[in-house]
Amino acid sequence: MMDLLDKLRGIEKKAEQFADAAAAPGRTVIDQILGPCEVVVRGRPTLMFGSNNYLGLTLHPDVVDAARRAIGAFGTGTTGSRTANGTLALHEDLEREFCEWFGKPHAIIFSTGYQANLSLIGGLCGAGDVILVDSDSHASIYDATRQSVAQVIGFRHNSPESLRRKLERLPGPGGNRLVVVEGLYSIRGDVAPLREIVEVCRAHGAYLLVDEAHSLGTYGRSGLGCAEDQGVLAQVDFVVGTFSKSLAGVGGVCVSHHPELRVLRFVARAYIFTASGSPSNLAGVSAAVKIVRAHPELREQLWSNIRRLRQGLREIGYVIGDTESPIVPMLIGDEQLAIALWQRLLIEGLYVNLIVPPACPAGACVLRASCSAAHTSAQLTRALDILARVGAELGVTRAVLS
Amino acid sequence: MSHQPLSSIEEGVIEVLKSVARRPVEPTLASDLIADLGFDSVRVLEVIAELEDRFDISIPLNEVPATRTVAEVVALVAPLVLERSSA
Repeated sequence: MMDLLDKLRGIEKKAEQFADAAAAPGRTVIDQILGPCEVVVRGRPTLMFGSNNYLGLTLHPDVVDAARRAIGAFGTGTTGSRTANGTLALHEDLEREFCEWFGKPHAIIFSTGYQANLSLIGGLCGAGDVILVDSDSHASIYDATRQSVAQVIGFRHNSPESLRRKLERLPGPGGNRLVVVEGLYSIRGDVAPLREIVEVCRAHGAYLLVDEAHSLGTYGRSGLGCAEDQGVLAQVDFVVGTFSKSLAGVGGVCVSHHPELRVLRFVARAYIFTASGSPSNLAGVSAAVKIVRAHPELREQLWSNIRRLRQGLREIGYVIGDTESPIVPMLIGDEQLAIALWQRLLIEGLYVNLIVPPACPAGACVLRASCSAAHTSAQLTRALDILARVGAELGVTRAVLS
Repeated sequence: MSHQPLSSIEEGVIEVLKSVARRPVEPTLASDLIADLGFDSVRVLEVIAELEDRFDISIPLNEVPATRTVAEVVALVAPLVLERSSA
């Protein structure tokens, strides 16, 4: 009989192979923040191309000042959940801010983006309901479906046709169905065909939830995400967003035109049974929202940086994802090669994200670079220099260069 | 009303498993998807998607974590195929 801890020992053994290496995946410690896109790792200045700081607002003076002022006025913590221990004015201020920004009447904020999905999916769907999820959905969406007793059906990634077939096979009218997709997918960096997905949902009477975690602040004329960008925001029933990416904080939000969203405060376990967002965090996010709304040029700078990075990577000879987005996946394939490349890049002063199984299929490993509006031209040049040198050294780009 | 015989479902499941595996595998009904065939959770989801397309069914993902062997996959798929055939 296997011991409970045997499973963990096996994983520990795998992790131990990096114990003495200069860099161990998943255990990188950032000792100091030099700027929105530059940090110190193991005493070395390191370019940060692996954060979700898409608009570079984590050190923006307005955000930092708002957070400082909130600590002075409200203290450091909320000591518990909104349900049990009280809602601060700051919680309601931020919810109003999201309602105004989205032009939707209802918003609820959550302590994390993960809990936003748990609350929405868990709060909306129960026995007799059906949740249809894109197969590339984030773990928070899958985990939410695991906590629900609703039937869960997957459909092929970004395939409205696959979704249509799955909806057609279900018996009866569609009022008990929730379709869950993301705006911008975090591993492949590709965008959902929301217009087509909206059409399929409408034709079958299904509700649609779009998680705009990575696209909030980065897509759309007002920065509202991919649904706004594709002109279907009014047709999306529930938009979920996160604060930990463009909005420089921690937390999640859902906005909706359905008044029933308000009832989630009484039924969503991940809302009720958890500590609420801290005052400094709420005030910082509120300031970040104001900046995103007032400064569309931040998005323009982000997209200019994205084009520069993608062009540079192609010229060096990396194979990158097809979709132009703030997430730039470099397709490496072999796990050992991906780990070696990731380590060498970090040692040379460039931090990117390493994606290996179980986060991707075996043999389909990816290094993911994320762009920020705050990346300077000099930082982009340095990053591309490092990628060219290390890529050639490890033979990742050789085929194209030779 | 036509009922697909179970053996053809078994054959279909085994074909899908072979096509989704990245290396040559010879699944039997007793094979464990993870321990014997080396599938990880992403690969299992791919198996589900392929089975759904092949048999024109929808497999509830709620049932998947408890499905470990090829025989259990067949037991998951068969009633859905029969239900569709008799619909």
